[in-house]
Amino acid sequence: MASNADGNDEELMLGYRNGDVGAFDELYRRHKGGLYRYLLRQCRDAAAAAEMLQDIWMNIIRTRSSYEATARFSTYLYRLAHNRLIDHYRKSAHVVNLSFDDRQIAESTVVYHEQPEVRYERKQRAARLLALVDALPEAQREAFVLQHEGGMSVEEIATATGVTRETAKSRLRYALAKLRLGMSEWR
Amino acid sequence: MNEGPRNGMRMEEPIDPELASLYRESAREEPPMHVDAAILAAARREAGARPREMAQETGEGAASNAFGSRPQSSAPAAPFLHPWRLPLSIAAVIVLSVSVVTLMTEQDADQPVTPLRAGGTQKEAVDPAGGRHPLVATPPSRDLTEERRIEPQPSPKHDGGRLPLAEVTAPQLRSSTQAPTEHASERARDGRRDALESETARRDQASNGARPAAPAAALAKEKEGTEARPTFRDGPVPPAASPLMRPNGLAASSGSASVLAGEYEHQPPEKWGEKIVELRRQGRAAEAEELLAEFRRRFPQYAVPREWMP
Repeated sequence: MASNADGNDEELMLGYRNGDVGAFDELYRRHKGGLYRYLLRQCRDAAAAAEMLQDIWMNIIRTRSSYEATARFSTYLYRLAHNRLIDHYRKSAHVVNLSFDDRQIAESTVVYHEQPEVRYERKQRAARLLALVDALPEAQREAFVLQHEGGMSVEEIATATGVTRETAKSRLRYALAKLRLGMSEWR
Repeated sequence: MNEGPRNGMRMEEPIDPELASLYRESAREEPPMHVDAAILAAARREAGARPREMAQETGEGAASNAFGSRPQSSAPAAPFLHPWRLPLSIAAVIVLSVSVVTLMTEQDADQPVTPLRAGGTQKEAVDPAGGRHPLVATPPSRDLTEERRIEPQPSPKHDGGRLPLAEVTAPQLRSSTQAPTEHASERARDGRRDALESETARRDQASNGARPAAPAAALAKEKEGTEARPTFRDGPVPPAASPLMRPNGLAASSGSASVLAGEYEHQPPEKWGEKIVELRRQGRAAEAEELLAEFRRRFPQYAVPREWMP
């Protein structure tokens, strides 16, 4: 594997800033899937998610000369993604549970997958999990996906979403609680 | 897909390993390939590199692009200076503009301020507030040349010839002799008037007889009658105060002489001289004298040739 694959994300981005296109290739390879799925989970529209993905990376490319490694690259990346999602919601008049009220643990009315009540293989369990993730409130779902797709800590999730650490932690806990509850019958 | 939460990094954080594992297995969506290609191509364009196929990234492409290497050029200095282009450009323009303005100001200040004539236009020449500096109207080299020529201040009949002011045309001198300088011409004229009056009065008396017999009396009358006529002691002469317009013993010819003066306003001194001589030849001595007086007023430094005299 190329030596640049050993560098951390910040080094890769700095390398690209200095003109190393290969560093960008590696950086993109590392994060494209997770970022795409994060966007997909949030907006539930593959086309919109692809468009937002492109917008986000184009933004990174355009501003590469001003990049400073003051934080983790993933935090920076998902911060951009979060803001881009907000813009998407505003433009599309997204009516799905936009409340980021962490006290609201009510079920979302949108169901991504509707599974039968029969216990199946792990594949069906995985699908069930995805459905439960999609059913989470926006804020909790976002926290969960950032943790699992972005590999981010609670503090980094808080930074990316613009909330306090305690709020991010609370959202994550609620999300996990709901998922565990939903998966309890599948375990 | 990302590895998920970093193992052991923050054990106190809410995490469910089983859910995490199950999620990693289930979440396998990837962006469309055309989106990947577009993004990678844009990255290359921005960095100034050629676009590459995605299939080569895992093969030769990755091997040739070791971290830290810059295979496709773009010098590090270029992206570093990019955000500074506009500020540097603006700064350069400002510096150049200030330099040019400063140089021009210094040039104006360094121009010689020697007086144009004996009348002492020093004040006018150096007057910083006086709107139009007489020396500014012409190129500096030319002004200096004129100054050198004018400066010696010989007598009007110096060497029987003309001062090298022949090249100085009437419009140029006129441009440098604005209203404030007319009083200097008045002083020069007055200074020679005594010597001239006696001679011209004698000849005019012979030609038209309209002149007072006593040149001194005429002079005295002129001085008394023209209360609006200042001398060099009194101050600058208003632009309209031409001797041709003042009542004097030659009032009968003032009108035509002033017309002539207006016609020859932009003519060189030689033309003036020709006209004066022609008037004398025609017996129009009064007009000739008026025109000569006007000429002296406008060209005080010009040595009047003898043939112009009566």
